[in-house]
Amino acid sequence: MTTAATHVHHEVTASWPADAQFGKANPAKLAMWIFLLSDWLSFAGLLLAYGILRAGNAVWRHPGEPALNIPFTCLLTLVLIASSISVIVAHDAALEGDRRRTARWLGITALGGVLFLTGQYAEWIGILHPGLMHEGLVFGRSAYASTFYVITGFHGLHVTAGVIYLLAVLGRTAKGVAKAGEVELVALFWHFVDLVWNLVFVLVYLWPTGGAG
Amino acid sequence: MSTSAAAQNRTRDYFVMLAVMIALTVLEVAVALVPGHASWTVVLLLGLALAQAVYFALYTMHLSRETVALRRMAAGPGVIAAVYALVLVAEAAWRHFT
Repeated sequence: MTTAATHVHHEVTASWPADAQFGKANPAKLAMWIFLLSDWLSFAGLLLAYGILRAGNAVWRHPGEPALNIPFTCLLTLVLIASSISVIVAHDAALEGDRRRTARWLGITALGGVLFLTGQYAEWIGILHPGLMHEGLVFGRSAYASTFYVITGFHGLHVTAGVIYLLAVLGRTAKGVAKAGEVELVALFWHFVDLVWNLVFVLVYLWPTGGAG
Repeated sequence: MSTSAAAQNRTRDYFVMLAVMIALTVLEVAVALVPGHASWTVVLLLGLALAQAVYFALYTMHLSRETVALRRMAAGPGVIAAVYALVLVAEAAWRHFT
């Protein structure tokens, strides 16, 4: 190597110091994080719009509109939280290369999602008792009704997508073709769905109505 | 650390995570159901929800174990949403007091 080339190489190294974190990010995980962050901004937009409407309306729940069932929804929240732990167990099992245990815990997580969706169906439409739709909470009739259906519906679509994604990874795990990284990605998505639900639960269900209605 | 000790530690971690998240959820419900000043209830609820979201991101989504670069990237949209919220609250307060 010539003296000039050595000099140039030395200068480049000096002006651009080595980054200890360079190359450590897994591209698939990075892509999932970028997707989740953009998805978070969609939820943030909806929740901010809800906050503006909520703060600007002296009467939020109009006479004749039903109150939301907090104890029942709290149970659904706990189901989602438990499923967040079960997907961590699935990921740990995948890291250990235990295919059966991974598949079992992915199945339990998907079951948690299905339970949540069944609960949401019961709340909206009704299974054993009439749901909110039949009790007077009609989409488009008030900001209370419309924001409730849009926000919980948008979240419900995410849970549905999460259950399908979990089942797809479960299928690949059962066939023995899934890698631990795939389980980590589905776990990230599932945690995100749970994280957002906690915000929805607090803002939509627990925000006091101030005795209106 | 032996494999069984590591597995025991992980099981303990799962229970701690589950207990923290259940406790925060129960606390949120308790705050909402106990009669009090509505504005303070909302502030308290938002604080608890934020704490739960940060806990979720750091421990269940394992952000605490990720690189600083990824943690900063993940915090970005959260900060942007918080700035939007602050601007909107300030604007509402300005309209209220003028």
